[in-house]
Amino acid sequence: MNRTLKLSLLIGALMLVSAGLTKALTPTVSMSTESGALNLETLIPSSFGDWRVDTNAAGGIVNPEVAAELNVIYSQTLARTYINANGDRIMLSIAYGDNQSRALQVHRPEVCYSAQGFVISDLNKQVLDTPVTPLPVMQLMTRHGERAEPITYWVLIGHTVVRGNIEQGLARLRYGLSGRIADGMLVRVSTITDNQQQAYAVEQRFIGSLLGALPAEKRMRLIGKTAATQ
Amino acid sequence: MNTPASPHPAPATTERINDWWPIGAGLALLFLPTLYMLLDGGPWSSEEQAHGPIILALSIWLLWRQWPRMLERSAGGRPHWLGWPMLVIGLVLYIIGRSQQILMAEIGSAVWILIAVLLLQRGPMAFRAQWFPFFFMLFMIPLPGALVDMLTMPMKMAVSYATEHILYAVGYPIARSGVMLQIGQYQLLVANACAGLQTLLTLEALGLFYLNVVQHTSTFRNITLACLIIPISFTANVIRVIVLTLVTYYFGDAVGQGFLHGFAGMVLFVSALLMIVSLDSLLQWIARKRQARHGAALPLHAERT
Repeated sequence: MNRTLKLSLLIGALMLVSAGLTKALTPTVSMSTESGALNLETLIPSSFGDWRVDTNAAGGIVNPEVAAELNVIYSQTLARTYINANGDRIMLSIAYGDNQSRALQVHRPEVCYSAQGFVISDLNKQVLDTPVTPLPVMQLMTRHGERAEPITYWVLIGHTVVRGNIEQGLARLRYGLSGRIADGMLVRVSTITDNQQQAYAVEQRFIGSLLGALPAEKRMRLIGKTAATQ
Repeated sequence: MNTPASPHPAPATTERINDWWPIGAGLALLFLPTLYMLLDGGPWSSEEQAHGPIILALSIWLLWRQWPRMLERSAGGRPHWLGWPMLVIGLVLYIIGRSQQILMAEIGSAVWILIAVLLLQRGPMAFRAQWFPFFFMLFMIPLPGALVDMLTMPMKMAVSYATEHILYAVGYPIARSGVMLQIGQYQLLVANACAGLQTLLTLEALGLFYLNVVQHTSTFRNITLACLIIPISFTANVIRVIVLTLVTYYFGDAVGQGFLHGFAGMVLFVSALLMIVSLDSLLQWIARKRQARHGAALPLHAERT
């Protein structure tokens, strides 16, 4: 046997082993089935604290192309407008994807909004104080012509709240290497107003009041395990 | 070499190729499933990554074209130790990339593995003979999403800005807010695909391919053309958006959308190709002028290239 063939056999064998390892490392257990069925409509109560669903809120004008893409990426979405006694309005929007694989990852608002023609500014990592637990969130300011919309949001991958692209990717990888296909959720809370600081304060009260009103196991679906048990 | 002596040179070559079958089988085992995933409803069947298969086919053709010359140049080449770490890196990238669906690692692993195989089997001379196909393959690796998002936005703004100003200057009722164009009663959103970070890369790749195949001797012409491909593809994108805007303005939204999915890509590539070829002719003309003027300096210039 000559050198070329010997080398070829060795390299070929290494490739075969790699193919086997790949098969062994490919995650098979879906975290969405593990955690049981999810229904966003019933998960989020229509009234809690001094907040209730604002039935007068006009349904947003939906761009059909965007709606089609949302249907592909997410398995469930929820969009509601809440109002409190002061007349503060909050738009709550939740998107859930049962498979956070490559093509179906949760889209972060700083990407989606700018794709819709919004101008993004002041993107910040924050930790919100809520009655239940400190919650790591992102805050950003979006503008589209006259419309200003400060946003507070968080992304949950599996049972972990993540901030930013890198954390999101690492969380996905960590679950993946332990054999589990992570699910993902985007919870976005926003207000249409020019007053950024006041909007963030109202959004924080809204989030705190929502988390406080939910029983522990429902809360876990929104903010994951680590945060919920603290 | 331990290759058994053979009366004719040709059978020796075929025999050597036959000795490569375990690598061929290994590559097929690793990358045929990847190829199937990419094409069967995967990223390569989407509009944004449609250049992937073209790049792959062209790289394979380039590799194949250079193969005899590579064998000739690397005859008797000793393996280079760098091949082993490269092979390990490539295989680890493949394992993680494929099992965890990280496309960049999965596709990128192919480049590492192929270079490693050449280094181990034929030595550094073989890689030197084949560097261009490997460089070309880099264009088929998808960029990380965060980077694409970061670069796409300013390009979208620039494309919409140019479109608005050109059409406004020639008297169309057009206005812009961000990347939203309003012409007559229609509203158009310059989508990610239109801004064309991927099309820019594709055009750059095809331009380099053109340069490699044409094999210009003038370095001045090569470098200038390679740099000019960036403004060319930007202009081609603006042309595409302008044509789309005007089609929508005159024939309505439905026709505009039909055009978008059927024909707009064609306009882009044809206009880019026309610009590349005409600029190339212009550069050729300039190069000849320079040559005529610096007749004496030419040998020195040729030496440097």
